[in-house]
Amino acid sequence: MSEMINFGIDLGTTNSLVAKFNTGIVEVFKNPSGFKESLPSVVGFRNDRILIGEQARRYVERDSKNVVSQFKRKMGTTESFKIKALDQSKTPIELSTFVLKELKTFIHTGEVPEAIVITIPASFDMVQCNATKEAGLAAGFKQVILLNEPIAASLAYANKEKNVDLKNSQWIVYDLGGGTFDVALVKIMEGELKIVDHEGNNYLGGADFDALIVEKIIVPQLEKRGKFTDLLKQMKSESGKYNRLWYSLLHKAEEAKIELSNSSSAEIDLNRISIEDEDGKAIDDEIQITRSEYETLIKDAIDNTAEMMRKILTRNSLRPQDLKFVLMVGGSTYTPIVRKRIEELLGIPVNTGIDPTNAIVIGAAYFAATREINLVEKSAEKSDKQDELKVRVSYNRASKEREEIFAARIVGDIDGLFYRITCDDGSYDSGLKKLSSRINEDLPLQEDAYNLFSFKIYDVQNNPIPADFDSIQIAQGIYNPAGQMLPEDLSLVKDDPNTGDTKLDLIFAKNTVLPTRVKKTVEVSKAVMHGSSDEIRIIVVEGPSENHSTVNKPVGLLEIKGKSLKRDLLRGMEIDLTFELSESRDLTIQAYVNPSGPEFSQIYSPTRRDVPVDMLTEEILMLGTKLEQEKAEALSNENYEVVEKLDKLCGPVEKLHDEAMIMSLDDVTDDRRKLEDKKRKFAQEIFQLTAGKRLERLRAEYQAAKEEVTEIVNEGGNDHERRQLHEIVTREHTFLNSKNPQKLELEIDQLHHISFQILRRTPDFLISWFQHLVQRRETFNDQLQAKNLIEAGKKHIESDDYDKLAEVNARLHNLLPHIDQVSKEMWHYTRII
Amino acid sequence: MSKIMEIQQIPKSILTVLNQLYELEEKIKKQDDPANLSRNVGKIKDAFAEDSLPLSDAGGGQSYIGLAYEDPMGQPCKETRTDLEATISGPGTENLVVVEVIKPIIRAIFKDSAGKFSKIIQKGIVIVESRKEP
Repeated sequence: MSEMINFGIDLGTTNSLVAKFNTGIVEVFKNPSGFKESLPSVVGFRNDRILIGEQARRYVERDSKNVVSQFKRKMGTTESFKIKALDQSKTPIELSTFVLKELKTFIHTGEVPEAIVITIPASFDMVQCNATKEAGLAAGFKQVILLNEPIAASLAYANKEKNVDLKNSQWIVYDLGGGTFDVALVKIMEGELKIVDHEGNNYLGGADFDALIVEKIIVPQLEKRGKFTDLLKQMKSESGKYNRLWYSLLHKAEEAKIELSNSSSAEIDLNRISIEDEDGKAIDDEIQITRSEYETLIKDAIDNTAEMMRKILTRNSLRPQDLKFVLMVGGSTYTPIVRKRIEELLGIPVNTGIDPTNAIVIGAAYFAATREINLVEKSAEKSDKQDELKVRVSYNRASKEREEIFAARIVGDIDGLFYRITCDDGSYDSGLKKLSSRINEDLPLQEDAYNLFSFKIYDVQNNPIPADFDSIQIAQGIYNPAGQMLPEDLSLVKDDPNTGDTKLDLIFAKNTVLPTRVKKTVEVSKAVMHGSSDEIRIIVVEGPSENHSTVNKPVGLLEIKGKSLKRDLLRGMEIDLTFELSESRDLTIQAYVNPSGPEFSQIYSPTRRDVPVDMLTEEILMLGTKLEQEKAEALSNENYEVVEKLDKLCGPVEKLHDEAMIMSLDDVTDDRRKLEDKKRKFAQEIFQLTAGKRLERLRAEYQAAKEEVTEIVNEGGNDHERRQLHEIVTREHTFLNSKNPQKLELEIDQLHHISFQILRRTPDFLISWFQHLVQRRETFNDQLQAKNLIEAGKKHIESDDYDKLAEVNARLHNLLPHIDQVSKEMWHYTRII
Repeated sequence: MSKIMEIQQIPKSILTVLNQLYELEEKIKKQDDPANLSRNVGKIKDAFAEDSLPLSDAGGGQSYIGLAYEDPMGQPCKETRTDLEATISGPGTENLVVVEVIKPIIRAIFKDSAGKFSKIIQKGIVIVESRKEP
């Protein structure tokens, strides 16, 4: 089978698009440096760059000597555009060629199509058609097939609604875009789609509606609310006092217009735009626009488009009812009044079955899929620049600046070639520049990030030319290799409500480049009353974050004491913490407490970097308790070897506690540090003996939970739960190999959560839960309510209504004494979780 | 190449929330913030910036991206900038500077062991004016 063209281009007056047909589906390609499918049909020549599309459009009204748009209207004429920067003229064909070449860069698949279908308006004559073809050939396509825009739109519709029979019928394609309006009568004649008649207005579209909103609704409102002279004139004139306001309001009007497609009213919020009248009075209210106001505003313009359709019908001796429908194309047909008014005036249904913004290019791609590639000069001239160009580059790979110079020397035949540099994050495009043997470009850099740029060389038809260099990588800021690295993890000590112990929360990971800053929010786990001697401890320790807090070295302590509080710090309140590490590793901790209002806020900075004696004593006591617990657990597991080793530590830890008890609170000697050091060594020994065991237990627990949950999911899980389980199992290698028990605990919790989700839907589970609750009936807080609920629950079981039974269970659970609903009071060391 | 470059689109609702947050922040700035709302705005911004959206990787694992907006107010707008949709106000076209921000620039941020990468998710919509160089 011969190869089909498959690629189609909508070469529009204001916007252009490119699409490809691929095994039954059409893909409309996106602009690589943006998120839109469309490319503004604008070409600019500024300084030594050629800018095409969005970058050029911003200069269209202000630099018309170098930036050209709307050249499609001049296709096939002898008119040309004088470009000041080049000191020469460009024909509409040449300008269209730039747009077509740029569209080739949208094709992310890497294909370089040699044949193309390009759409043209119904109004184009033979000369204009030939001019379009010429532009296509100049852009490097070797075969160009033209297709009428209304036919393309009809094809998009016919391919979408395959079951609609269009045989022996005729319809109108109504195309109202951003700046132009076209209407065409399309008919199927002898099995082929034909355009019978057409009309159009080159100066009507959505942009005019935005301007009407500003002129007729917003400006009169502003004049009522402030003192202005000739406001509209001052807004529209480029040297006018209110010129900037014109553009701000056009954006606001467009937003309101879109909102009015779905709502009956929209608000324009003037708060964000600084508007001052001539007396300096700020105008910052909202302006309300109703859909009916907007509809009245554009009614005349819509009626005029209907009038054009009537003309077509009259000329062709047709009545509206002879038409199958009016097919709506162009972004402005999203406006409900456009659809409604046309229906009203013509009395026939409008058809909104296709996406009005890309229907034409989609139709072009469908058409291209039916046309064979038939190259006249097949492989006549493959690029004669076959030899790879050699690019010798020079630039800083790491920088602290916001801009870096990229310099390169090119070796090889560079005649007629262009280059272009784009930032992969979408923030920079050098535009097309003529390639010379030496090039220089200033590249903007994103702070503290890797900046990746693509460097590409193109021939005159915008086809990429191979070179031995294509990517520029610059690390900005923190990646400067001269930067200091953090040698150990720094973590925050928090209470762990699940284990009644403390846990570490990583703040700065090892090898973080300094200086650096991190914010964290913690929750108060036990109230601190103002004026009391209670305190909240923000403790930062150094060492692997998988360790227990007592094993790591304390490097920073910030105490929030009840005595320094202006009001109570209640459980559940949040504390914002900011940790800053300077290049020389000075740690600053700031805590910001803001429970409910702005009146209470305090910033704390650490005053001591050592552990105070009272805290040290408490820590040693804690270590002793831990030792006893671990010993008991090892004993119950009959792990006598560990018991013996732990036993040996008991005496020294007790001795350490005694030493701490006799030390004065304001001890200034080194004894405190020596004691702290000893404590850490003991802690290390205890955790070395027991940590592996804990991990082992958790790993086994995980495997058992996985097995159980897999069975439950297979029996009763929905797609979402199956996916949840699959995700956990897929990433299990990351946490099973981790030394951090908390990670494992979290995943086990997740597994239990999945099984609970499923079980709670099963009747057996709900019934046994209900029975369990009934057994506790005497403890319910409200006996009467509980009695009613129990009766209701029994009825729900009889009638197999398990949704309602679940509700009853939840309500009964809420009636249980509070103590059963919350976890038991935990032990508090830091008072933060 | 970083995974972030594969991101095509972020749900519109999330962009709307970020745009509204930006507007809120701007309004607060204008009104001296008597109720200390900027703290709440700051916390919402932090929540978005810290791994707020899941990003599946080919290995079936899960990584996350953060989202942050950037206010380009006062920044120069060169013709090579593609992170802004700029409308020029006033007569000049050289030394353009952002004088009004209608929508901020939104970036997706991805961090991995290799470092931080970002990608523009929403171009800033701005009005620019020519500023004479001092």
